[in-house]
Amino acid sequence: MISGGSAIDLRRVSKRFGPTTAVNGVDLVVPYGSSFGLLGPNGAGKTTLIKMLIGLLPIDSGQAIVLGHDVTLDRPRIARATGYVPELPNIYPWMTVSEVIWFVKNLYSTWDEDLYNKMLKMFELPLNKRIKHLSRGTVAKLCLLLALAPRPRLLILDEPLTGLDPLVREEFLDGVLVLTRRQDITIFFSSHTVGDVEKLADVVGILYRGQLLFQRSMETLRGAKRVRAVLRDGATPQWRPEAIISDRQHGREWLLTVPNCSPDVLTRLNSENSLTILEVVNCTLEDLFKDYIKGVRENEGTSLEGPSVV
Amino acid sequence: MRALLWKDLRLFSYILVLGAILLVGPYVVVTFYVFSSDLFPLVSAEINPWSAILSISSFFSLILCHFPLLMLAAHSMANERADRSLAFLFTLPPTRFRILASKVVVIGCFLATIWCVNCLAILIATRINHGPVFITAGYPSLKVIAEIGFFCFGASWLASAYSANPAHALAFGLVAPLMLLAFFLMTMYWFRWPTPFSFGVWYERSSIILSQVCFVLGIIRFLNKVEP
Repeated sequence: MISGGSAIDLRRVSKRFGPTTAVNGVDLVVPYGSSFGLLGPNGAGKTTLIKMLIGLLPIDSGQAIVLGHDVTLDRPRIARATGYVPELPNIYPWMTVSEVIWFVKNLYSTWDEDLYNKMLKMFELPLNKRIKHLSRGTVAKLCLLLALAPRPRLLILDEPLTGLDPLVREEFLDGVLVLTRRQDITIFFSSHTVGDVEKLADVVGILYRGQLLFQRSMETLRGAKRVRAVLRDGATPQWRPEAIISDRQHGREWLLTVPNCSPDVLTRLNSENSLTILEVVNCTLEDLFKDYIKGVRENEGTSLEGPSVV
Repeated sequence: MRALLWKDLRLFSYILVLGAILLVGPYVVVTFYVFSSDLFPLVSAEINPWSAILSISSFFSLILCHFPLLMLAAHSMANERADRSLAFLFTLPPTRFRILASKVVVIGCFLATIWCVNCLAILIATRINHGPVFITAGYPSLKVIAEIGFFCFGASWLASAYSANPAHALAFGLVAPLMLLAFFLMTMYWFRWPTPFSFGVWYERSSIILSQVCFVLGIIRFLNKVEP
């Protein structure tokens, strides 16, 4: 055991594929019992980061400690306490559903028969069908069952809802919520769909071009507001709130996205800057996500249609 | 381990069925031939027909059974890499050592079966005949069959540890003994190795060493490669 305080502790973790840096010095701490949603556009490095977390990809530099064990040294111990649902499940296509369940069940000593029966009933899985004949949604539900039934301490979901219809998405999320009622389970999931993250996450991180841009609690983000201010002729911004998510200026128009936007912050913003107009708009997590990515892209001097990374 | 063994038995089931057919098939064919052919009575006066059946069949069976053995080696790691199911397996608790041990146990049991059955048949043939059966005198010795068979197996095993295509691993296993043969022939031709140069002895020794080296390298590769 190396670290006892957090379920996931990444220290300057990096991964390169030839000349491309897929994950660049990511520092990340996920406390036990929390639900961490990793947001990021396609190609941001989410899957690479998750594969390193579960030992499917070697870490080029840095250290990854999962459930108190170093990933590079103690993968089997981590696997025993971790459930993993990938974006594209690779279960043996020739096995039937009941065979896969029997196979996985025999590899875990912690298999929970009651939870398994509950989820089997909830998902209505066809036990005698071969995996290769199942729809994508059914395979995703089977994967979730296989990940949850051994009662993992850590559940890792790598964009599991991609390509699923709304009904299956709902069933899948309900399945995850069944488990989240337990206090000792930590959930780490990635998605590029903000709505899914909003439903499950306590803490949200945004990964972009292999770098973790921020890590904030959902509560903080729910209090975020978009502020539109118009500066007086010739005036420049004099005071900015702390930890702003986005800060853009087009002529006299000044657009800010502010977390924890309290009346005090607005009063100070109005009094310390020379403004003619100050408007406040509530914003969703999706707006925040877009603002953050746009802000970073503008700082980098790239267009929105710029090439994707990784 | 029970689940892994079950998985590997299911994974290799088609090859194991083929192996069973090739193990028993020669006995059936030779028995049918001996009792239905007009040729056998010409020699039957000197040897017991069952002795002839067992000795001839065992040699053919032993040689043919090395083909499914080669297929097992080729499919051992490459098959699960080809359909990406190895990535699923690597996210489950068993260590790579256990995953590989299960494959080795299944392949080892098949190897033991083909050799035990056929060696027992040769032993029975010798007992019935009160000595070696002359009819198989011109056949390759068991030692040569084993050496070349194991070399093919080792080469195929190594290729399977690297490849994501069982067909490539199988082809490499089949070609490896020929490559070694070509190497020795070229060495003899270009460097005019001094006589007496025992080509057979050197080929056999090299096959034994290379088969073991390939097998160990395949294991090392499988255990150490992080990405499935």
